[in-house]
Amino acid sequence: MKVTRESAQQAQPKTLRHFFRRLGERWLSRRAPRARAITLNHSRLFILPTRAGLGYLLVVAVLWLLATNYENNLVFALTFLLISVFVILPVHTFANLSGLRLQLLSTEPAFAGDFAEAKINLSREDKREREWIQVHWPTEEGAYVDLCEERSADFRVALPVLERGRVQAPRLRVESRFPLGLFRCWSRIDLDVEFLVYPRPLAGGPLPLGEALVEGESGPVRRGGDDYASLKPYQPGDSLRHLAWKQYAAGRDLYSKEYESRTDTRLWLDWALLDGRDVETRLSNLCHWALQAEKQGIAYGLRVPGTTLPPSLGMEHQQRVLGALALFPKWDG
Amino acid sequence: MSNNRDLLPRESLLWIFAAQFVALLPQLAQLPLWIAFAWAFAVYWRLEVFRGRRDLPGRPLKFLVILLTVAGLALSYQRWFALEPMVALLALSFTLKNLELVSRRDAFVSLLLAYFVAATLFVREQSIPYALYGLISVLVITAALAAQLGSFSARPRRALGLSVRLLAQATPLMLLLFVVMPRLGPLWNVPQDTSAGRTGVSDSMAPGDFTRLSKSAEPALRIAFDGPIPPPEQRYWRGLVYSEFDGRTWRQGFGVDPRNGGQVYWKSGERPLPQVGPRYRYRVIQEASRSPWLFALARPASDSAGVGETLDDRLVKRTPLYSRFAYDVRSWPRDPQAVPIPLSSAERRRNLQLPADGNERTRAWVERLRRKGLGAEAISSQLLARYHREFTYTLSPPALGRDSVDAFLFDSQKGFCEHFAGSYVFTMRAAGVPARVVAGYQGGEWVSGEKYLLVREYDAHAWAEIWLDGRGWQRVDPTAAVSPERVRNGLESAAGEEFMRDSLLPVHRIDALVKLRLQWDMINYRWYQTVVSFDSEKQRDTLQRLLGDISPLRMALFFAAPVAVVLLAMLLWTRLGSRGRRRPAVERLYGVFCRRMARAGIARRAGEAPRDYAERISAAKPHLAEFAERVTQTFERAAYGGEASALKELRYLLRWRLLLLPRVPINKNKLAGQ
Amino acid sequence: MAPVVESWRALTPGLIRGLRKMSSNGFTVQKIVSAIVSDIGSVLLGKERQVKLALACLLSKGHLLIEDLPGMGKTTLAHALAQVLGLSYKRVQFTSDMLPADILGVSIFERESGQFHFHEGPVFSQVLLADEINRSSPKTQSALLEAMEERQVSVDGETRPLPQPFFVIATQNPLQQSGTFALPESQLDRFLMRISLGYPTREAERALFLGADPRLQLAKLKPRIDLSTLKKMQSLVGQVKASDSLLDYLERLVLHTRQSSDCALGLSPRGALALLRAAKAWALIHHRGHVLPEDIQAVLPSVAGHRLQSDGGSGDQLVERLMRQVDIIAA
Repeated sequence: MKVTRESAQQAQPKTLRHFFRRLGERWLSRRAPRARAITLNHSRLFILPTRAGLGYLLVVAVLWLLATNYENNLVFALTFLLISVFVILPVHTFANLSGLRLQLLSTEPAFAGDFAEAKINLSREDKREREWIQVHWPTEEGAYVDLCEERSADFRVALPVLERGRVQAPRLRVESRFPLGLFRCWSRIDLDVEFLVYPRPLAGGPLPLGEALVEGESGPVRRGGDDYASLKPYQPGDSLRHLAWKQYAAGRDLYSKEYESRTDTRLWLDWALLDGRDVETRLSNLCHWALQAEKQGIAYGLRVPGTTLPPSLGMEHQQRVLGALALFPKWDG
Repeated sequence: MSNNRDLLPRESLLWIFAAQFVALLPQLAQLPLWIAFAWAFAVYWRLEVFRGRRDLPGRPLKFLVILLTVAGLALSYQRWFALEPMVALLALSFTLKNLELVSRRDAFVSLLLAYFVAATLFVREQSIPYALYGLISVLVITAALAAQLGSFSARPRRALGLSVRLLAQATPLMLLLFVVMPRLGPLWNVPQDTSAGRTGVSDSMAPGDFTRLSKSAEPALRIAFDGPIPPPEQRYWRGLVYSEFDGRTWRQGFGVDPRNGGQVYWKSGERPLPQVGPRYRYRVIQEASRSPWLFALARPASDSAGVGETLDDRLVKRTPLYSRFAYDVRSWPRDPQAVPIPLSSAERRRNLQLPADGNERTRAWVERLRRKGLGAEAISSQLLARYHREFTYTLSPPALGRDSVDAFLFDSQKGFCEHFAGSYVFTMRAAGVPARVVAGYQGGEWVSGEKYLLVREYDAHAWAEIWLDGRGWQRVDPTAAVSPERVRNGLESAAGEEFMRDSLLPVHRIDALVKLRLQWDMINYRWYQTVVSFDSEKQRDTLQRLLGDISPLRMALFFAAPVAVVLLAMLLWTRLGSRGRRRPAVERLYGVFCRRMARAGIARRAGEAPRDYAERISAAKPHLAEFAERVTQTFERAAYGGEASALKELRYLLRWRLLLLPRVPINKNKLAGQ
Repeated sequence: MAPVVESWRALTPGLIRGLRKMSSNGFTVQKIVSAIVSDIGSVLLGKERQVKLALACLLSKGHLLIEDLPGMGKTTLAHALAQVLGLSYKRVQFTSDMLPADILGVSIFERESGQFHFHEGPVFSQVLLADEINRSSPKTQSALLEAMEERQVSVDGETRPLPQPFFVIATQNPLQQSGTFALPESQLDRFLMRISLGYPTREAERALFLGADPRLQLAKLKPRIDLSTLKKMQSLVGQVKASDSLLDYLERLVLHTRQSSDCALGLSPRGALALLRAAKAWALIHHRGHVLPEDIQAVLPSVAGHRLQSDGGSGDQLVERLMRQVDIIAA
């Protein structure tokens, strides 16, 4: 997101508005520095009437005219009551946010072009109930949280991410219009949210099964393949699946069957296989392959310049592979 | 994605409808019925939309509906710039808004309109029940606003509770504003609510009119005296003078009503004030009557704004009374008018006017008396004596024929004040004595708690005035001749069993209820005195009483102090409330250290232990190393070793020693050079 | 007499009394600890931290789980500890065909006396090294773990107390190895700490190559303290002061594990208590009368690592994150 915003800014001429925005950001970063846990207090909170609040003032003004022209004291009283409510409202709105603590729990990796989610905890230490707190990135809907009976709540906030890599999220906006929606109290906080964004998966052809480009057919002997090799005496701890039941039934001792495979039939997702495409497309295709292989349960490895991950399966492996793709250096040329 | 959130959930809708209903309910009686139905139908439609059974109306349909409502308004109201059409328009805008109640914004618009509709109720009437109802509607509307925020807030108890809390907290400031805020007076002429007001003394008098009034116990006037109080038989509250008789009905006649050219002295002092005679000072609070007539003792003068004096010694208001009105009066009722200005010939003619024919028997009887050579006063006493001997005072007089005076004087001989006054003036005019009928109220009931006189509609009365050369207009009450109790003790004792015979609940017969009613009236009076009639004059008085002297500084203090106190209290409440448990002093002090170091360029990482941090500082900023080391050690001893002395030392370090820290690293070479 | 503890002012009266008593016997905590650490350090090179952790575990009366690959010196550590502390020591190699009776003991009918006689199993010793505990069946595992928790053994309806102190050092292979039965969480919780030794540093390895056979060295180790001193030290752990600020920090840590979505399961109250106790022992080992946040951070990976469950990533990473996310002073 930050990346896109910056690029958008670069496209614009450097206007005065741009200058002021930068100035504001700098001021904000001094006033509300980056931290993974932030307690909202008066130095971080801002408050202004909403558009509904201005409408309310308009109604108050019209009521005052009505009261003045009809010399009607009850209408005056009502007018003043509404004014007084308007005066005390900001205190309530402010109190609804003040003292809340936000903490970044975790961020989840996402694919470029998708929404990345940050998991955030909101908690209060005092007795006051809090309502209708919106936590969001500007332009996004974000999450609405209530802290009524409970003192702490976890929720997810999503941010659309467009480019792969480590993406530093912009400031989060914490906002509340409690109690009447006439005032908006907000704070822009930097929870140090950083997303790991994988490349956008793009189909780049079928999985390159059996297309080992490196070293060819004569790989080292690996234990644990598909081909049956020999029997060895059973040792406690050997897998029961590999027990030689037939031999055992024939009255011999317990043996384990040993398997091995000689050829490197493993799936290598290789950078070199995708020659002729640009960097990002290659990464996207590799990403797609990795997902496919994981889905089909085929052990896969990754070879990109600078990184080689041996074939394996499982969540962790997938995260490693995708992470390597995400952090592949950007081609600035 | 963002639209979904803006769509109104069920609770919001129901709250909006509740708020609209509460705001509209008291207006329904005044509004044309079709508006109520239209509103109900719109609500029904919107709920159907919510259930998914129907769609919101499309643009052509909406356009049609708008056309229809405008046409309906045009048909229902001929006048556009009046209060009722305005309320109707607001009610209709509710209705139409319901048909496109989609987003949160629409909800806000609808609820803000509701505030306005609730306020128009007060324009109609400012009595206590209305005020209470208005308060309830504001409560509900505010709750509805609060309920727009979410499902938790929309729970009835929560929303109403919040609303009550907000309004309660706002009340002190509201009272302050009420007392302090200046009242500017009308900025332009506004349409009045012409539907208000009730029966009362009208500008004509036909047989039966006052009988009708005698059945109403509604308050008409409340009069508080400042100084001497006139005795009961002197309490004649003059309101109208009828000079023109057409054989059946008495009217004011041409050229009296200020609306058609009657002369009125609007400014005080325009007319010379009497210098002698007993003077009464009093304040009259008059209920809305829809007419401009005010009521006062004879020979009144008033300084209140918008009140003028007519030539026939009455008070009138510039505009009709559409709501309660209070005015201060001084009266010289027994002003002998030492040298009365002689009656002009036009006035004399006017007060001698009779229909050309009719009531022949009366005319013949008067003719007989005149032939006997009796003067004006003698004829008057003859007639009064006759009333006293032969006539009966009743609230249910028999119907009279065409020659109503004849029929009354010679046949039925039973009547009410209007019969006596009408026949008396007719007779005197026939005798060539200028005479006129005066209508107004007579008597009143003491409300001792407040020491004011409560005059009810059934105290309406008609009497006569005759012109006696050299003495001017003299009041004659023919009713007093037949029923002196009426004048002394009021209608109730005079009419006996007949009094309030038709009323459903004979309240006047039950003592406790009578007392209760008076109590209630007292509360009303107080309400009116303190709240409804609080004007810039009273405001000045009140402020003067509170402040002694109104100087800008005192005013500012008076206004600012409570506001500051309230805001400070609320701020304190939020700060204390949000703090939960206070951070221990040690940790706060260490926080000071961390911030200072962060400014120096080395911020503590979250979770970093003090010693690690100190080491990092030492490595990066050698000139701060010693200080950091010392603070860290002291902090550890204070925070974890529980040493009280360490806390003191830490405080010293971070309050004073901190100031001596070098801002920039000391240049080692320079140091060596020295 | 040199102060045994950095600052006397910070000590509770009980701690001061205890330390004085020990000093009068010719011991100081500082001396004992440094002696023990250097002794064990002579056989297990470059593992001072782990040795200290193991010692802290022992001083806070908890059991120790060492998880590492074979040949890293797990057994050596256990053996050396027992030797230095002067405790009776038994070793059991767990296998998959092991039965509970093999550990607890068995009643055997003796013909001479015509009675059943109970033969105590290896569990009846002061230090029990349970080697490769995850190779045995869950049934056997749970028998041992029950004994660890209750500090007594019920065989044939008779309850027999275990010797005092009773200290189990269990080792296990990393779970990825084949033929293992993972310890369930409830039983992992019985171990106060889980540590891993890791590969030695280069210097340590070089010293290993050059030096004498560690096994011979092991035999040379002499007891440094007696049972009563050990017990006194154990009771001293309880006297170490934990201030409000520290307890706040501990509370926040624990709360965070329970609230954060990172952890599938937060720290149990027993885990929290273990954390505090271990931190106190750590503070004592470092000659301090009060606990510092560093103490908690030092023992946190060992105490909490095996107790926390995460959706992704190991418990250690989780602990790492935990330490970064919870500040030592309240925000």
